[in-house]
Amino acid sequence: MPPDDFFDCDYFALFGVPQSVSLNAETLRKKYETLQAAAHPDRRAAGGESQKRAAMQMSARINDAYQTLLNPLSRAAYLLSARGMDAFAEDNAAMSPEFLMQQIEWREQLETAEGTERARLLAEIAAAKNAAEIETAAFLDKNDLPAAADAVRRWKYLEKMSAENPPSE
Amino acid sequence: MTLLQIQEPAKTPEQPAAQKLALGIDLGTTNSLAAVVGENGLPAALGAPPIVPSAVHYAADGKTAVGEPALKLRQTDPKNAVCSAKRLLGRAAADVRGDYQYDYATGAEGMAVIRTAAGDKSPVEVSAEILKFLRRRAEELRGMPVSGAVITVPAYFDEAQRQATKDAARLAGISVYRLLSEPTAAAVAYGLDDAEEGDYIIYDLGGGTFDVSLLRMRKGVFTVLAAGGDAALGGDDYDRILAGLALQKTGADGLSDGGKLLLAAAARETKEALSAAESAVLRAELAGGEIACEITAAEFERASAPLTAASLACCKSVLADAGISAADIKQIVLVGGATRMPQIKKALSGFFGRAPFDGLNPDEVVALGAAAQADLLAGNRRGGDWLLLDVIPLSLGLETMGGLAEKIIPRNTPIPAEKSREFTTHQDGQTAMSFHVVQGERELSRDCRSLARFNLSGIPPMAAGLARVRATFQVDADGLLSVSAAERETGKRADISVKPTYGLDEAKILRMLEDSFGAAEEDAEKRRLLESRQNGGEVLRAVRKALAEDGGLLDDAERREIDAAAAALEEALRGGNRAAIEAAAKRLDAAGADFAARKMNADIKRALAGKKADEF
Repeated sequence: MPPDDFFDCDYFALFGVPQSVSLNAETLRKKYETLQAAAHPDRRAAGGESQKRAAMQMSARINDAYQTLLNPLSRAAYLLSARGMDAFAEDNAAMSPEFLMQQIEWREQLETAEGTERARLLAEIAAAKNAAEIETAAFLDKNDLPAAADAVRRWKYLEKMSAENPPSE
Repeated sequence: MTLLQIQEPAKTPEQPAAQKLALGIDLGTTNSLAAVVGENGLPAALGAPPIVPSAVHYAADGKTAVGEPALKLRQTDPKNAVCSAKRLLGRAAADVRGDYQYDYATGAEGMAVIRTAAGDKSPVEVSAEILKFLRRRAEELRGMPVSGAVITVPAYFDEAQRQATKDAARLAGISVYRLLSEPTAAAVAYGLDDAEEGDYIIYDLGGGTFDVSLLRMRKGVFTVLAAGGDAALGGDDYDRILAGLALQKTGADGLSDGGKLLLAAAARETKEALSAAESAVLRAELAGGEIACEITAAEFERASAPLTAASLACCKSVLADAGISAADIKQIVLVGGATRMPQIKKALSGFFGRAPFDGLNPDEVVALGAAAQADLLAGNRRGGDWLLLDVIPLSLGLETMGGLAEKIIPRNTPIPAEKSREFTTHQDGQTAMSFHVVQGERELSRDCRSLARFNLSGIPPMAAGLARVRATFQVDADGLLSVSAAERETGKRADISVKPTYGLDEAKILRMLEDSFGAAEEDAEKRRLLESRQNGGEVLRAVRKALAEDGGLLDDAERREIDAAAAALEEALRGGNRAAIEAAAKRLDAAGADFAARKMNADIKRALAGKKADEF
């Protein structure tokens, strides 16, 4: 059932897609364009102020929803928050000591590693990131929200590390 | 009353809305022009010749001249003939770096104004003269009033520059349908020429600004993936390089202001000659005698290489922002007269590995695309239907502790956009919080452009870190920002449309409007009545259309209220009382506000179900 009020519903409902971590990018893009075709302020450029305002608000919402749902990490975090768990709240930032140790180790090694050694490290980090992504989905499936939040936090950490260390310098 | 009851208002067959005169205006640094979509559905430039030099001459008797006549007067009276005012739009007096052309003064809010024989003129007023000239010429040619316009701005224009452009349009008596990025406008013109689907680079080197946009074109949808550029790089800078070469070669120095202008004009001619020849002679008649020297294309290319490289660096960063490699670009589209320089084409070919496309008239393509968009937004829809999804080119943020700029809306975020961030107090009992809104990519707020400062007071005293203040940034489809802040416990709010810091407030615009019309051939009141009529007519049409589509969303009482307000507006529109029309339009808009939101929900529901409301 579509919601009655698209100004006040979750982004999955706004896009008419299931609340899932795995969504197809092409499907999202098509929905996005369809929604903007209906809501964009350009469609009401010749209307009154209230119509323009409604268009601006809805169109901004669709833009934010699209960006949130398109990126797998922000999508997973959003799904968690839609179920009432803020993975990145300040009082929710605990990470296991083992994970943090591993991070420090990787960062130290990356500082000096070159060539194939560097490539090997980056592959290791990428694998850990994929694992965190898969775990997130699995915990969400089981509706184990604290475990899913922990996995999302690790995922974000590793994603950041990957972004800061591009494959070739 | 009986007359009105003959037909239900909603069932009144919609009179075939007369086609509106919707302009696309390219307000350029060096040249400006307007275009309009014709009966054949294709945009065409207006006027013969369509191109109007962006020059305004102010005489001591208050008379103004625009375009070619102003350029002519510039030769004898350079200080009163203002060119390239666009470079000064939204700029503080302090930003006017070593400019020798005019005498500057510091206007309201520290903005740069130009001293002329007819008094101090802000760049907004100068731009308004050019816009007014284009509007009047279009109205004479078409024999009807301009209903509104899409005005193009460089994609890289910041908040202040966009707002200044919009103010100039208001001052020229033009209602702005949309501010549109120049490369996006060019892409529309190009895309209408049935371009193949794919990712395109629009490389737009104008007289004073450089823009580059990466666009994804699909059938009916233009999506800007990333935009970048340099608001202070243009063909004029290449002229300066040539002038510098000439001075170096001839040893001439100590030029008077007039001499500098003559040399700049000679440099421009030489640049144009070098587009078609291996070498050219730069000749200028200066006070100390004639100077002449030969400059080869190769010399020019070498000397201007840093400028060209700077433009390529922008291309590179736009590709990186969008995560797309140069090899995946379908085509590079050239826009702006300065792209005629061979070294630009050569550099682009080298960078992208293919020759850029130069089949469009680079001087007109922006105005043509803007005209097509204006026609669509005005509801004429003669040229088909498409959707434009644009982005904000520069990050918007707030200054936080330690002078850091925290980005709230990062660059290349699709617009319209709305984002919030929560802040808290850092002292016990703190009852006020000050906000400093900045724009730019740098880490420190003092390196970014300062847009506005405002305070939220009346926060209830609490321990540090307990208050929750939510700052909300809203960017509309014109790329214009408004910011609000609210404290969660008390609901205490502070709103700011970023405009007042450097823009003109509505009262000032109206006053200037009166002044500017006062001396002129047109009657300001007549013009404003016309604007009210047009606006009122649009509100009425839009509400009637919405009622016809989704009137069922209303209960009887709501319907009666809207119908009554609509009938009252219709009645007011028959009369000639501007205040009555404006009040009735406002009443109808207010009566329909809730309906507008409900109708939006219905439209979204239909869109998701794959149905269209009767053609939007």
